Amino acid sequence: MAIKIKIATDFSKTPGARYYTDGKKSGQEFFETLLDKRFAEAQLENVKLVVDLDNTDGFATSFLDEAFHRLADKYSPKVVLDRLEVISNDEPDWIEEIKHYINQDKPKK
Amino acid sequence: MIRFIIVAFLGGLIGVYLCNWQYFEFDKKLHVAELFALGVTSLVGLHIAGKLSQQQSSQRSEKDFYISEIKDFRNKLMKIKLKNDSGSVSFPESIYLFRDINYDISHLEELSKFSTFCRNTDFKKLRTQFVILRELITGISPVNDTIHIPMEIRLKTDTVLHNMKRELYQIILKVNSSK
Repeated sequence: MAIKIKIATDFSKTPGARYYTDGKKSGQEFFETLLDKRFAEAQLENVKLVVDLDNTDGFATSFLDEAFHRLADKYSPKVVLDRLEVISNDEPDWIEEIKHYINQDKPKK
Repeated sequence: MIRFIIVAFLGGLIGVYLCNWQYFEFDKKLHVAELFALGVTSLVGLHIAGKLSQQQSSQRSEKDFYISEIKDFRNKLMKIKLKNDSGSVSFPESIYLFRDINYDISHLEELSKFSTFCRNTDFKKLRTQFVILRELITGISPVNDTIHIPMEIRLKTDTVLHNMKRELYQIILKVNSSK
């Protein structure tokens, strides 16, 4: 069993940029309304959280960086990497990029 | 043209030399086995020449196809270059363009797996530069759905685009020189 987020259907087919102030459907919004809650549920049920990036119109680096970096800030990179699984058949390079955003040490905003 | 004149001249010389029949002895008899061998040798020669020419033409068209795909890819990079030079790009357009370019790199990688002459082409450098480029542009916060590219980022983008074009040029050279 795993908890799943399919961004195209559960959040938006056209994800936006980094912050609420950047426009609709930002990475910050994705983290606060969906990613954080589902990750907490996955923790509670001790199952994997699967995030599916396919079938959207594409992603801005800022969107994914913001969402996953905030997640790593809250739970620690190791906890996130152990529980998270990313699916990206359309653009497979995002999987490694997201791991990089999770491990990146950045000041909180 | 010059090559044709040289070959014609050499052919003439050899012809004149061979026309000195006293060097040769002629026998009016021809053994049937020798005639057969001559026929078979001629047929084998024609067959090999035909096959080689067919193979060469097929390789050329495969190379031309691959190079045209690379040129299409380069045209998309030129779109980024134009947007970068203008200093702004629409946010949705940039997302679409980078996704399209990403697909193109995967497509080139996929083609190279099947190709006979660029099987070992390394796309790592191209992909690394692409990730840097995407991060430079789509890492900027948009204002009213428009990304305004600061001068500092524009200069960095130019360098990355230059590196990518150089990589593509090297791939074309490799494809063309492979046999």
